[in-house]
Amino acid sequence: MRDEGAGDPPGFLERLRAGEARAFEELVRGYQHRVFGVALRMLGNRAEAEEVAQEVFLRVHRAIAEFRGEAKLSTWLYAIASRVCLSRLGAGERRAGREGEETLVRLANGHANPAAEAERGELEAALHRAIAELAEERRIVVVLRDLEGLAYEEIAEALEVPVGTVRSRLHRARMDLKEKLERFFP
Amino acid sequence: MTCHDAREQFSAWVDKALGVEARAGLEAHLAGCADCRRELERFQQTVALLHAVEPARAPAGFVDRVLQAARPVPWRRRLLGRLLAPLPMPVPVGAAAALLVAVAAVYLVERTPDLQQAASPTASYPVGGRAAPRPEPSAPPAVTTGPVPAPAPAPRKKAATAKREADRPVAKDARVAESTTAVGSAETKPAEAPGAKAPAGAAAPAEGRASGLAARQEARPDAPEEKEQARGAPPVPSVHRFAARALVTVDVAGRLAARDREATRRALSDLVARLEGRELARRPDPTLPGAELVEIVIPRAAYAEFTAGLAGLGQWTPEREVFESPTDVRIVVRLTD
Repeated sequence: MRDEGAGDPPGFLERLRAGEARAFEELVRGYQHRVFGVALRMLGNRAEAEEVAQEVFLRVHRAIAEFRGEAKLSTWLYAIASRVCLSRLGAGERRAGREGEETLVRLANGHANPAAEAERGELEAALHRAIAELAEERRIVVVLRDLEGLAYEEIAEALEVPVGTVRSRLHRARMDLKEKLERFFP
Repeated sequence: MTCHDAREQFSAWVDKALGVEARAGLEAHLAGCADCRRELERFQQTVALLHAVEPARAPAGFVDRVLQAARPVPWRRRLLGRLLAPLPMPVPVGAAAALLVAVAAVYLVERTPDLQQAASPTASYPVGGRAAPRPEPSAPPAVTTGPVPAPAPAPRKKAATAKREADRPVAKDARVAESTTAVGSAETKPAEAPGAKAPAGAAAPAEGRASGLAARQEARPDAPEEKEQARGAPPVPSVHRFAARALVTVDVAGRLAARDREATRRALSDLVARLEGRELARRPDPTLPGAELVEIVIPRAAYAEFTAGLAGLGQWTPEREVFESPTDVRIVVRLTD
């Protein structure tokens, strides 16, 4: 599990709930890359990903007073990010649609430079293309688990599905990816 | 355990999420199945690739943009937004549009000699709203009183009057100067461009007031030009009609019947000077042979005293009284026998 934003300092949640502007800024700084990363992997378009990530933080800002703290703050953020992404994908309000997903390949790890893409190799490009081609409910599980490092339980909580569903979707997603990448393996 | 059952455990095995019993069963199957071992190796490589993907980074300035968007809207702006929300067009836009039209109108009149000429008093003054024909070329010249430039303030001018002068120096000076110029225009170019002249009764001699008074004149419902149109005055080109409407500025007009014209003229001048007013122009009335038009400006506060003074000079019959300026009153007195 990636540690950015993890281990929030004591009293941080209380400061957030109290509406302290400085605490909210710390939250955004601490989680910006993770939230943006989820949006980028799910939507495949940097501009749209930024838009969604901003919406996620604005929702957090509005709802933080109601956050009871039963889940980890990071899980709550991932839950909101996942919902916003899936809602965007399902509402047909995509800005770039399929073209945006294609950009995921070019934007491997956020690099838009074609030369960088070439350096990273065909395998990585194929990996990102394969991720982009996953069904949305499988893609979000792979993103949360293998790219963001969440535990099964956290994913289940964020997506509001049973842990068994998470396991199943994750397994299917990985198998899909393996089949698409098999030609690269010895 | 079948191969299918074994491969269903791959994800949990990679994530070390298998129980002891399930893990033992899978390892036993793998020990005897080369295909599943190869599949598991490829599965592990796939997951390793996923774990090796570098995390994405939010674009520069993202935090600032989020904080800006999350900044609470001041209560005044929220209130304003709620108040203006139901309106089809925001009020500031409407106000700006009205202001733009007003500025454009003033600019147009000031920059277009044709429009200024159209509004010049080549036609006689609309005393009492009566239509007056344009002066013939042979009409006697108007007589201007006092120096052509704006007269210097009287030495005994009170502080309040001086303040009024300071508040509107350009308008007042321009009014006097251009009024005189307008009369001169009637003297020297009476037959010039008849088509460009304003309709009878539509134009006032004070072009200089256009910039300061155009807006209120535009909004006045009883504008003389419109009255003349209603009374069958000749049709006016729209651009001239516009200019005339913007420039008609008479507040009070009336008739002063006196036995001794010359004595009355002098007494009227004295009265105006005593009230700290100014006599702007004097000319024959083209609509009434033998009559004379005297154009005067006096402080608004002195108007009551002025009318009382007129009553002492002769029979004063006001035919129009519309006070639009809080500081002064522009009067045309028609002197008759």
